[in-house]
Amino acid sequence: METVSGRKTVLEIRGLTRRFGGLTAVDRFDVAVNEGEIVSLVGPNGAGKTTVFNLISGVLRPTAGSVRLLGRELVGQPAHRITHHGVARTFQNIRVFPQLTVRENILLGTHHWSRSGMLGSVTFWPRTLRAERAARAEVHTAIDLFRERLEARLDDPAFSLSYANRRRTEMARALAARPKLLLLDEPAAGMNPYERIEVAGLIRSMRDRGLTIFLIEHHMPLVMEISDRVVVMDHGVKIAEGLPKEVHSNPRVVEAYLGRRAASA
Amino acid sequence: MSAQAQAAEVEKPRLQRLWESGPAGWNAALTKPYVMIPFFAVAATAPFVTQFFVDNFGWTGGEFWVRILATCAMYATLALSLNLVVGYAGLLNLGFIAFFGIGSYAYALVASEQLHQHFPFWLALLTVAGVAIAFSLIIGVPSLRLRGDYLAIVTLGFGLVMRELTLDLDRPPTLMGHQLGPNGLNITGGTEGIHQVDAFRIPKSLPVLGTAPHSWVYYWIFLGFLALCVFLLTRWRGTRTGRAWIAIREDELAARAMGVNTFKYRLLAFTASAVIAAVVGMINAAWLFNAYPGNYDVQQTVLVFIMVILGGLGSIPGAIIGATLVTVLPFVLQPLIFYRYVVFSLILIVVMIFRPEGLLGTVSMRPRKTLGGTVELLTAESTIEASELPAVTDAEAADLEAASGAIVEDPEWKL
Amino acid sequence: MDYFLQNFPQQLVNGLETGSLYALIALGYTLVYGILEMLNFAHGDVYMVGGFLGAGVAGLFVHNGVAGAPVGLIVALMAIASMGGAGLLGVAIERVAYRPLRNSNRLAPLITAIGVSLLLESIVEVQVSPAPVLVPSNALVPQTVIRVGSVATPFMGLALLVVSVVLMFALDVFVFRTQFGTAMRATAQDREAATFMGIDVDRVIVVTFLVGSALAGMGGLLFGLTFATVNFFMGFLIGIKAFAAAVIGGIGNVRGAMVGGLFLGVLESMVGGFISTSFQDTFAFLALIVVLLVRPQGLFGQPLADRA
Repeated sequence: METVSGRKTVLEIRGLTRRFGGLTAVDRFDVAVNEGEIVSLVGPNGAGKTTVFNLISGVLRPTAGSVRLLGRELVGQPAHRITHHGVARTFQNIRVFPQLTVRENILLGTHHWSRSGMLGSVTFWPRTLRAERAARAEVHTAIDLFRERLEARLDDPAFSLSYANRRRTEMARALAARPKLLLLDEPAAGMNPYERIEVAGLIRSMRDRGLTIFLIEHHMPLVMEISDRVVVMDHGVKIAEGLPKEVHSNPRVVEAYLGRRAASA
Repeated sequence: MSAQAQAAEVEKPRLQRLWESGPAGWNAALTKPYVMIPFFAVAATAPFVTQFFVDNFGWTGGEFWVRILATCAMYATLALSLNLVVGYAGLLNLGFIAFFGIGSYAYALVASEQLHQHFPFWLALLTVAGVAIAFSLIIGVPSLRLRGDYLAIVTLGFGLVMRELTLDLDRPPTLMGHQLGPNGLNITGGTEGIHQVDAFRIPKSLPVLGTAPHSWVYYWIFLGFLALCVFLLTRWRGTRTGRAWIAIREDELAARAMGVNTFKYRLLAFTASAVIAAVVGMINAAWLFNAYPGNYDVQQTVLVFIMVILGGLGSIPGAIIGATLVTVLPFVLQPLIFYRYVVFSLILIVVMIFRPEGLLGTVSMRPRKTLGGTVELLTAESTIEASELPAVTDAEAADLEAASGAIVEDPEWKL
Repeated sequence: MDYFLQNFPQQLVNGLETGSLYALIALGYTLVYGILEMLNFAHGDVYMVGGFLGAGVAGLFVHNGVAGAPVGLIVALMAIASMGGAGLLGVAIERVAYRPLRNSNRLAPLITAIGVSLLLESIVEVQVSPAPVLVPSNALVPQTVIRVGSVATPFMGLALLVVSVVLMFALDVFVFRTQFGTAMRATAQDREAATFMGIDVDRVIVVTFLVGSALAGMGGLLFGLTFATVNFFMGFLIGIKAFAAAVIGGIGNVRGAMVGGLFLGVLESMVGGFISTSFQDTFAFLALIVVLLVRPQGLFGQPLADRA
């Protein structure tokens, strides 16, 4: 589906709703993310942002609504199939596999497209050997953006890594999945200003490589700096959407963050 | 790592670096072909060594010890199989020994007078593998989506049911008081088991194998199968399959997010483990010429658990070492034989409390600190009302940042 | 059909009797699971030890089939030994084997529990007796058979049912109508929040094990008196069945365990009476699988968290 500007719509969410008993965590949420865009999803804590990510990636099933990736409906598909269709994500609280090495973690990103199977690996089947080689080569492509940081640590177990390196590993792992859409859940959380600059650069580099990025982030200056568009959620509802500057001065947005009196001040 | 630090690293002697690399590194080193192949070569000469002592020193324990070694190799393979399902895939299969029993009975039924079948080796092997796969699918498909503790009970129940069925199928079953099947129907031999099971037919013309004593041959068969399993597990661990298993074990949600079909891989691990255990059962039945209900004893499952935990969950050499210790120790320390279950269960408990990784284990069962640390607590989607934010006087961008940052920023961003 | 109707009441009574035994043991499982989310595999063996303790006391007072003291006194002492001993054993196990692992990966206490289970079984096997031990119940309890209509049950069978029901009732009152019981339920719902409320969680856990194990111990005693025998392996099979009962009723739910136990007992009895005794265990196990697949929260449990 083509937008007015001629770019493809990579992610199209319509009427996405998720109820937990009496609580409506996400309420008729719509958004469209176009190819090559960096769209940020922001909002106060508890707004439902991670829930939206969970709904897209298949961890949760929506109560209602549709999620389309390049026209293909994702709702109802199991999480591992959704990844295969081209969605990769990172997690708010970094989920690398602790006992696996950095290399093995990143190799897991290649799992869904690698053609290496149980039987083939023990019979040294040529196709399997080729697949393993291809996967290993992909690791180097994936850490390209983090070369100096991760290369020396490739064979270290993930649990021994610093927080920042674990983040980088998680990102490299997502990149290794060759996704069409990258969901980043608070990529700059817990980082100091220098690291945040690096993250901003990383996200732009990833976009320059052809990825479409949808991210959740709390750090406003970062959001303002890198986003093409910003979507604001509060209490499960989208309350604003547009260019960063527009959204930033939107009274409803200020109210959501700071309360009514601050907005009218 | 800085260039200086890296240079310093290279300076350290190889052995020291190996020591520092911890269990993961030790395991990788021990499973390299240049360690494993000599190991198995040396192990294969063991019977000749015992024969040497028998011939030249009048030692009477030769035959006995070859049998112990065969039992050792057998348990080592079982330990590897349990390690696959519990250590790699993280599935608590408490009915594990049932597959060993299934293997011995399946073979006994096609290679004895019980059903008047005498399958040749390869056909019997295929049958045993097929039966094992069938049972593992019957149990696995409904149960492998269940959570860990539920899976444990279901598999435990399965083991129990197999034992009961084996004991009860020595007479025709009854339904509503009517007997189903002819009078003499006796499938499993009940408490007696199945006797006079065929051994594997080995042509006399074969060089060493053809003329060696029965126990030697079976020691080598067990050893060979053990070597094969070590190869399989090492190969899998180093490729996509093993990585997927460990990912599932470490963090199932993240594994799914990476595109791993967790159900399929759990089933693969479960089935592979079942087939290995069943083949061991088959070899056992051929060796001892019988299949008996004791093969289904749950104490055997616990014994194999002890071997795996002691050696270290997730470790191939660990499983072999654990199996050897548990099998051989009671014979070396004679009084131990009588109390072995008491002692070993105590060892299991102590190991679990003080060093759950065992000797060479790579599965961390210790309390896991959340990797996200404080940030996770602070950024978890909680229903903090906007009015609970620290008071700010201005709606400018800077304050917006400060306001949102105040509840989100990790106080310790020294990384 | 006639066969069915004729035998149904008898099978029902048999089932309720066996079921009440399952329920007694299931309660221990469900109480511990509710609070610690842990399957105490050693629980069935605590039941077994309770039975042996009772048999041991009986052996002290009964010689050659003759009771050397007032029967009521002996039985009371047996009850104290079984319930008290089993309760203390449960507490000791929790303290030594499970508490250190409370914050570990969930696999750890499970593996330890099977170690404890094997330990108990092998100690009794080696130190007490590998063969079944006789309990001189004919010197201690009436051996009369009570008949009502077409249904017959030995006195002990009925006593088993009655005592179990009384104990379950007492537990129900304890859990739902006392302050401590409320503390237990709170801890089961949210352990961390309970500590914020000033509840001594360690104490709650100790009492949970104490009560659950004591009930199991009483079960062991009742079994010994009913069937006149105890053996080192008796805890294993019944432990699994009791766990199945707890799951069917809704694991973590006290009333569920009671109902689940009775239900399983009746189901087994029906299968044994109308299909074949060979397949009783298989049916119990199948019932467990069906419940886990179709309604994993059991009859009384809350629906488990939703997932795609």
